[in-house]
Amino acid sequence: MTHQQRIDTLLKTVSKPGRYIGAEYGQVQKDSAAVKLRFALCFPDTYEIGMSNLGVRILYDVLNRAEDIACERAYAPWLDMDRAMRAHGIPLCTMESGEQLTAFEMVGFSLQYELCYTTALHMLDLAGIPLYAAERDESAPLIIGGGPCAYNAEPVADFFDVFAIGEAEESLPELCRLYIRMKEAGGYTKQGFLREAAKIGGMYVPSLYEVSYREDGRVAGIVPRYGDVPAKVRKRIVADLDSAPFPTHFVLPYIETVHDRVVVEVNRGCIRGCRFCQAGMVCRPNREKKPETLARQARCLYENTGYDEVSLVSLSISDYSKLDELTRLLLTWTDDAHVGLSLPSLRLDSFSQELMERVSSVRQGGLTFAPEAGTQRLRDVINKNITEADLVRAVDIAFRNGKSSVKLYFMQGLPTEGQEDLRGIARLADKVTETYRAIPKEQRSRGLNVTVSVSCFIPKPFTPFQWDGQDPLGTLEEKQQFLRGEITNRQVRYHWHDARASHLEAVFARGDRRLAPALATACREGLFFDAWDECFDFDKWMEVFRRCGIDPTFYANRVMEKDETLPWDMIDCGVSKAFLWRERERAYAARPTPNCAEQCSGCGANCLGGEGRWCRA
Amino acid sequence: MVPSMNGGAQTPVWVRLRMRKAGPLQFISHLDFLRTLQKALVRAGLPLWYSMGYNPIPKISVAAPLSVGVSSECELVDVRLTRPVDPERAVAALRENLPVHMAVTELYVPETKLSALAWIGYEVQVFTDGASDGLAAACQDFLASPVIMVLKKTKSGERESNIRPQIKEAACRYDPAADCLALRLVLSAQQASFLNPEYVLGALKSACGIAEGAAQGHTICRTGVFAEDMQPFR
Repeated sequence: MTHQQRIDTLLKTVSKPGRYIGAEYGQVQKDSAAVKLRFALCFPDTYEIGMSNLGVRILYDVLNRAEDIACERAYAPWLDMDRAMRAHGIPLCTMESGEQLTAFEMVGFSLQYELCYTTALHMLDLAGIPLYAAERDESAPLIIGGGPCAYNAEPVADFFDVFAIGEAEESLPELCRLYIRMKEAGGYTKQGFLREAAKIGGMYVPSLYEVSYREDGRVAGIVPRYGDVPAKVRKRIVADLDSAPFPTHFVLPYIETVHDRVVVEVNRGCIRGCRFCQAGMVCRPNREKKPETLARQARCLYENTGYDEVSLVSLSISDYSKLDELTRLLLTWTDDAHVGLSLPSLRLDSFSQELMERVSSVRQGGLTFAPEAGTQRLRDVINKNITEADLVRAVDIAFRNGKSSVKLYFMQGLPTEGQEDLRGIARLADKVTETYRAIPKEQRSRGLNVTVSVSCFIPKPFTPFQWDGQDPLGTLEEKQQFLRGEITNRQVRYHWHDARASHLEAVFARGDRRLAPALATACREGLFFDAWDECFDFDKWMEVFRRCGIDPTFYANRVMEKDETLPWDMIDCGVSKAFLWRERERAYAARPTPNCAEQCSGCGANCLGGEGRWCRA
Repeated sequence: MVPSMNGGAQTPVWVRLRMRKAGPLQFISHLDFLRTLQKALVRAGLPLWYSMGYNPIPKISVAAPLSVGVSSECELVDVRLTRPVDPERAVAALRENLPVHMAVTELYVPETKLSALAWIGYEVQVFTDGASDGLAAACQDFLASPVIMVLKKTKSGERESNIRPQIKEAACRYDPAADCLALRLVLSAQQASFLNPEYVLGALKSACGIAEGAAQGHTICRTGVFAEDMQPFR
């Protein structure tokens, strides 16, 4: 039996083997001997989730545009495959060449959510790469991190060599160029490279910073170890999004993935400024692409993929200033090509009959709205400027146009939240069912289905609530049970998230470098895929924290002080700390802030450049 | 919204693709195969006919869907088009647009119904520690026995069933180059009596004492499609 036959035999024993075979249409194959740098782009979750990530698609495209760089992909194998690989001594390999990650000069991880940290470590381990950066010698790949979690990557700082802060499509190729240049010049050392890397805008090299702590556990100071290392790393953005490179091809998965369709990125940033939302703050300033550019990119991707759905991606698609023009341009060909349009992230207040006709012209789907909080007072606190009337109007249009399924997203545990706010969630759901019943039977579809999905608030760095503590775990669970009692309407289904997982997420979201031993221990104990219910083991995690002498409530539940040094203070995301504090004070006064299109509130992100159409000079 | 009229007044036609699904693609399911093919057909610009109605879908049917873990040299796929196409140009366009291990080897207008497919030929390699001429002969004898009972799993539970009538031909020899048992099987392809080659292998393994072990494994490939009279099926 050949090696391949052995692997084939193994693949016959695991679930969904199609996610491990590679050989997808659209993947880029390069001769490894003909390139100067090989980059393994890893997603620390399953193939189905990783393949759906637009950021990975963009970076895969950008890196492979360089002739002398080969970028390949790797994902975390699911439990059964992981066990089989370990049992047979098969290391983690890439999808393109099938080579072990140790054969690559750089290994990059897209860190999308805190609960993927252990999975990233697990992948390093499966690839035979030492976890701690300090344990890796010159021959080991450089480990790069990026994505939203890089804004506070301190809990994983000891495992990574470099973090790319912000948008990486320009900075990552610069990092690769530097590497190639230094290798070609001779005398390359890892230390020398990292010192130079820290001079590239947006590149944060954690080992070049000394973090000290006070006796009470808080951060005392963050100091660069050398004079030429910047005290603050400012995030990178692509100033001209419209002309930024965008993939013309996608790698097409064989198996069904979470988002399996053409995606075009309408804008970056969000004009809204919801006070709990990290993406809304760190992606500023808002930059849009032109409708003609988007229509061209969508058409090109359709022709090169054959997908039957085009999705317009944005943090808030309804706020795109040229949405009408864009949908009109797309509809000139999508109907005839049997291609459906999908618009995720629709805001309640922008929902219109016309939009609905256009979007549902080919395909049907459920509707999802995010009021986020149950009362107007609390919605004012979080700056979610929508009203009950907006919700009633939106679902009325939806019900009159054949929809009967509505999903409502809320958060519980928000700062200042009380019982009245939780009750408000139940009352809003009642309003939706009342609106349905008020429509004559012949004008609505049968089978009303209202789902209320409630997640736990997690304070995130670079938001106005970054100083706030999460509700203690017990309180979160009590609130969930309270709301369960309040929802008595039989037509409303109530879903809630595991508060214990949210607690862990809060620990890492505002964590510091002292969490590294806990992550390494958890990885050794076999904890990974923490975001998956079937893998998440809260008790084991608490045991790990105990053994490492870490109090998780210190990170999750503590209210930080205004003048305190925050663990992520070496990062500058454009939005100023003064603005965030101002927003926090307005939150506690239940005062909304106008969105960027109405009035500039001086967040500071215009220092980064970009379109700046809405920013005060 | 008026559904597209499928290119106007022309008469829809069915074309039949003879396809290869090889190598790692043995691990993608029937539905994944169909979705992959559909996207390739769109990319290749073939004039797919879509069903009328609110949620139009193309018409694609496959004879005897393949199990995961089985590769094929002869998948037959019928596709409805809005108008006739030039076979050579269509095959060339598909060649450009299919993944590496998937290929259209022929495209033609079918004269038979897919349901008339009667028999399918398979080539099987069985790797086992004790592979030899003797073991191959024992397997060959077993496959020639008048009754071969296997336990079949169905929706309503398990039941004993004689699969011998569904085996048209079966030959087994020892292949010294690959150090394996090489089987040639022709099994029923008809809907009511379709026989999955895994059942034949299962029966062989228990009857002829083929060892379970580290070097254990097998490969299965569909190599031929036949009509009731064992003429090549087109």
